[in-house]
Amino acid sequence: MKKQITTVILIFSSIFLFAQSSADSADRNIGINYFGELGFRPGVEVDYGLNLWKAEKEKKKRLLTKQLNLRPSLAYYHYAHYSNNFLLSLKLNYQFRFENKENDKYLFVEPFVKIGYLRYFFSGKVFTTQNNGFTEEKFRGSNSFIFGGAFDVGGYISKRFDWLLGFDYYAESTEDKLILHRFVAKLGTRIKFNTK
Amino acid sequence: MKYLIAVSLLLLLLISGCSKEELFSEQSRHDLWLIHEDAKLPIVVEGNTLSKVFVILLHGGPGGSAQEFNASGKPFTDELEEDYAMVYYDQRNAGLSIGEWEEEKLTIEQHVEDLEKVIDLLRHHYSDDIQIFLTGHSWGGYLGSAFLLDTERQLKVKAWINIDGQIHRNRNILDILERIESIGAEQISNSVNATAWEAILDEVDLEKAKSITQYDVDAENNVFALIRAAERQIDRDGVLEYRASSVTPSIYSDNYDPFRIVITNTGDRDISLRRQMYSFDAVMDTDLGNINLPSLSIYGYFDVNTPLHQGEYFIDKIGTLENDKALVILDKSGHSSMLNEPVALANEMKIWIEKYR
Repeated sequence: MKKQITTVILIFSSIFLFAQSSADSADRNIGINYFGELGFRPGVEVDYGLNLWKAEKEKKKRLLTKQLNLRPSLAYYHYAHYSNNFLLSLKLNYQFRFENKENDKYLFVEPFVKIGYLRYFFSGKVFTTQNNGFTEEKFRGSNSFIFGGAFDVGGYISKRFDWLLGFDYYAESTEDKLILHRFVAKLGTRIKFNTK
Repeated sequence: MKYLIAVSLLLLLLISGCSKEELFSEQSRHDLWLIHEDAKLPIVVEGNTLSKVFVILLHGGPGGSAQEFNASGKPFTDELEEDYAMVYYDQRNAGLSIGEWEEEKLTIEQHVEDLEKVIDLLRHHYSDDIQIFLTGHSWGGYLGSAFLLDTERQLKVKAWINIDGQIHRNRNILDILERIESIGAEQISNSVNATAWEAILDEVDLEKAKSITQYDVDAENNVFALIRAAERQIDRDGVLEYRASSVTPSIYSDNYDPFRIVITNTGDRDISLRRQMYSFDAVMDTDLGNINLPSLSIYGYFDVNTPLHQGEYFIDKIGTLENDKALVILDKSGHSSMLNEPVALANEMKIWIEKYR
């Protein structure tokens, strides 16, 4: 497990190093979403968009932009009477953005794939057996890895904000060697760093 | 930045939003975890802890979930929670338990040890003076019986309630064929879907013609197919009632996770346990006499999965005094009496618990 956690940390560290490179800062944004596992298990997701590649195709009234983005993400969701879960993931999305040149408003769709690490912290009191007795422990839980994909749609609200609606599916590979199916509904906003 | 601060505050509120635990009250809800031998077992204690009567409900399977009783079986569990503290724990590699998958630890002995640790933990966490009653459904009936074979362990519980328990694997398979045959004959004589039952009984005859006296995990598959056919027919005959509660509220306000529960209960993960049960039959035959604890067996009349003959076998074999053992048959129940006759089942359990508390 230590090796797996180290690998995850290394992958994410390399992404944040990339974030300091000369990628197009105009497309950087931070997303804050309601993250509802199975719709209504409440959670919050914060992610950060980094542009890797961009191409524009201009027409008379519209501008079609294609982008390849990396979005490191941290989500928290609560699983009642069971666990508090933290999901650290990396999403690679391909965005198609349709912009109206007359009013600068736009809509976008983003299919993406994601991988990540999911940590459960158990709710309630946790006891481990020890020398014919019990020891109470804090912060015990379980580790899983996830992989999956999703589909987001979003659009223009203002120069600072976009709206976003999304559905994620991911398969959770648990420590007891099960593959569990997870579905998430998201609703949120993206805050653009550059408003020009 | 202010958005980040707002989100962080919201996270902190969600994480810290738990109140101080009161151990004894008429309506308690406590979530515990037991970590033992690489397994992380969720234990939910719900109900009247003030009574100091704790009823452990062992789930079936192997591979089922006790939390399922608390999700779809509320008409049953609510009845009991009014008077007692119900204890729902998911066994290793089953239901909502987590932990490393180690097939070598999926043994009857390890399950028995886990159960003993759960009982010890309840005393450790609550008090030494709580009274513990043990009850189990289906495979849970088997596990509870296996636990009680040791006279030292019997001292840890006040009484045993076996619900639709499979006690002797090989006998059970033979009992299933007999039970399907007798229910089928009854339905034919009452002219209830006679043609369909005749077809099922033909299949039973074919199975019996093989003259198998000792089944194993391969040979039992044919009998499982017969069980499914008979259960479907019993449903069509309309002899059973269902009073299940919707699981949707439990998905969002309780710990019920349908994906994990379905996945752990499918596939062949339990095959090594099922194989062990056949070799453990000899132990049951010889050691059931060690059980001297007050023991109630409750079976559904229409149960073709673990027929009432298993209850008769259990009551006949154990060493408990005649006055302290009983077999109750619920007339409108199949294998899941907690869904078929929840109140009648809970009442039978209450009568037994009150007698020995």
